Amino acid sequence: MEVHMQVSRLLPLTLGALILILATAQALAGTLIVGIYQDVAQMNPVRTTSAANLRTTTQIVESLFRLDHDTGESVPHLAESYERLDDLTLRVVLREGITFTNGEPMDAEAVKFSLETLAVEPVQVVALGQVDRVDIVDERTVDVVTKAPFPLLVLSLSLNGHVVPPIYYQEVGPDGFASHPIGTGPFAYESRIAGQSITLVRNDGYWRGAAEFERLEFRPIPEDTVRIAALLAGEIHIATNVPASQYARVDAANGVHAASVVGFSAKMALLDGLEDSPLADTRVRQAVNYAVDKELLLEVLYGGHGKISTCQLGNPAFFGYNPNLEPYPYDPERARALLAEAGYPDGVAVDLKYRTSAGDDELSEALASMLEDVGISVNHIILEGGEFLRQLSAFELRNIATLGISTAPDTTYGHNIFLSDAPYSYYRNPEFDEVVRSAQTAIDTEERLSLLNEAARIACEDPTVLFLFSLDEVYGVSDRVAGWAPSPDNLLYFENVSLD
Amino acid sequence: MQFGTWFVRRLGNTLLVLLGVVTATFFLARLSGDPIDQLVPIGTPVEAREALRRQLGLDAPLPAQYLQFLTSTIQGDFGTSLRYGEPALAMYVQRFPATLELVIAAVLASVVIGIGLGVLAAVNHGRTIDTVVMWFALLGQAVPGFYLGLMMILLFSLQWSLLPTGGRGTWQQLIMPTIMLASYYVALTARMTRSSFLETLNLDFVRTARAKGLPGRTLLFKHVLRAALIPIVTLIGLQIGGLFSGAVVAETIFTWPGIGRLAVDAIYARDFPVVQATVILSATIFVMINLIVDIAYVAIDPRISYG
Repeated sequence: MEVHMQVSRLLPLTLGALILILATAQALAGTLIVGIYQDVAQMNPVRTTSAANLRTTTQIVESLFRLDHDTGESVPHLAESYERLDDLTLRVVLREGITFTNGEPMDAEAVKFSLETLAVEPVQVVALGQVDRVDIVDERTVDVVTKAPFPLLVLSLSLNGHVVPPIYYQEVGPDGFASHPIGTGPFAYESRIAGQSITLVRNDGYWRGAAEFERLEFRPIPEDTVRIAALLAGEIHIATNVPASQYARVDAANGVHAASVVGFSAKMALLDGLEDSPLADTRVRQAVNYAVDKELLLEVLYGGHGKISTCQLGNPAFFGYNPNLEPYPYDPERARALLAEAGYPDGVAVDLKYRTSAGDDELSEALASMLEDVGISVNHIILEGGEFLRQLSAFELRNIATLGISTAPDTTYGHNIFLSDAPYSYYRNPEFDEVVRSAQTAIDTEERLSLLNEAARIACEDPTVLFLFSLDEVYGVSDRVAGWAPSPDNLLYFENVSLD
Repeated sequence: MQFGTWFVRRLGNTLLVLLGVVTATFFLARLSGDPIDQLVPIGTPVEAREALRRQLGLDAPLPAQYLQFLTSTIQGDFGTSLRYGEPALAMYVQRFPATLELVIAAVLASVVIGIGLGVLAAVNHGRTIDTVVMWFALLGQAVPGFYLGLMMILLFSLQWSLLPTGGRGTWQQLIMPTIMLASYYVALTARMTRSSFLETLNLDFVRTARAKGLPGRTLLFKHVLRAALIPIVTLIGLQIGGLFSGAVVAETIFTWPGIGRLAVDAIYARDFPVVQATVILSATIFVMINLIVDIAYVAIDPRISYG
């Protein structure tokens, strides 16, 4: 009896120790663990465009094209080559001999099914809504036909042209696919513990060569401090979304280092140029741009880990980037003069809206004090994230709203948002509208580049927003991970990456 | 009043409360924003937004949606998560054991440590032990949970490498979230036990018992503690509700996959079916616990009857 009791008391301890040993053993066998800042809500890439979801799904399901990490250009991936047949038609030749992990062939049939499914999916309309149909030429060749000339097709196919196995997809439906996605990628779905982890296992037959470690696990750790602590404690190997302010701390710690890349996102403040707004006057919007010391903000709030926007959204890696534009210099005198010219010699009062959830509070408070300095008195309104978005689309997000925006690396996307008839545009400029409209359908590369450059010039002179900066995407990486570097598209690539 | 009559009336009230919760949840969620905003990328045209609304079944007029929602809720169908595409009920059921485990651990800690410390302080009334325990209790109530949580991670995970920073699965992972969640309630229970115990010590029946020569230990633990327990049982019953909501912070900091985090994420994303499922099911559990607490009174104290 006595002995039995002692054993039963010891049992949980022994079990605990055993679990620990097993967990450690598994780690040694090669599980690379990524700490992500939010749970993966949608594992069906057909139904999402958010990088937070695609980081996981793109390990499993691949696209026809993808972005080259260094140049940011679209390069064929599941596609082998492509050529434009006319303004509406893109011919794509697929690689030979690739199969999905369930054995279905990745062929013209699969591409036709995938792209036509994507084209009618509401969340994909911005990216692929222009796709009218896909014609099969032969087993390995398809013609992608768009409704109108659509120069962004190849880029859209890089970011959103996910190819799914048609028989399986139809059998399980979109929700079934989300709970167990199947693709051609370097990893295959293995298991998920709700709210805690998603585990993928190496696809040994991957067409580009099997990964160098056996499992890839994603762990949502929403608190920044805790995600960094988990990295420092060796529980995870890569931490995504490290706040720029933590760069130095992570880089200085033992056994880990910080890695960063210039991403596709930009910080800015939306300026409400609607008719009854004090900011409808170009000079007031210019004054706001002169009033803010962007360099100081970038240095103090983000430790300098970013680039000052050169009076446009996007960076030199974007198609359509205008190299001739310069940031508005910090010039409070000029700002005051412009306000006076616009009829506000005694200053003007505006609402400044922001959300704490996006970490914009410190930035907004600093902006407010700089604006106050030139005579723009600011009424702070702090909004919850969902309410912020509701006001944005209801034209209630007035007069200045701090936000970050992330688009594919082509300035067309950033310009589209400010077209007068765009769903939530607070900007009215007919000249700008005309140039952007022409750029939307210009297939000729030179012509499109010059139109986009022109659009950027207009959006700078008659400012669409308060241009701030693009912030680096910062990651914390364990020294045990070799060969990994962050990618500007914010996705994770593990080719030639090893874990010791 | 008969127990049967009392019980039926009490149950009726409970159902009314639940109907109120169901209705309020449905309309408040919808008043607070639009899930479409969060699902589509910026620049999505209006037609595509409306198409998505149809796809998600959010295009019907509100009263029609409400009726549909009521009938399916009664049948136990809480709909499908707008973001995850999984049945909301299944998501709740998957996550509930984690929160339950955490809450039970915290309740046990409050009961065992809280009552223990309270009794210790009361029987040593006015002595150093009493002061030390009460200082400890004050600290437990004053330190914000999230601060305590982060400090524990810094010390136990980073400094001394004793415990994992978060997650669920091993008993080590349960320790820090339990301490964080329970600290306030341990302190509260200790204070409550102490004062209730001291109050009871001054009652007539205790004096009588002493006078008839009952040994100290029997008196304290058989008579005084039992009488002193009534307000404490109420407190613990109420605490359980508080613990479920307090679990949100502990779950977030320690990456504990419970319903608290599920609910908060769903609210931010305006994922109506998940918000509805978590609120309604949690409210049901809370109301049921209250019912059980009411019944428990009667068992503890014969002076209380059904009324």
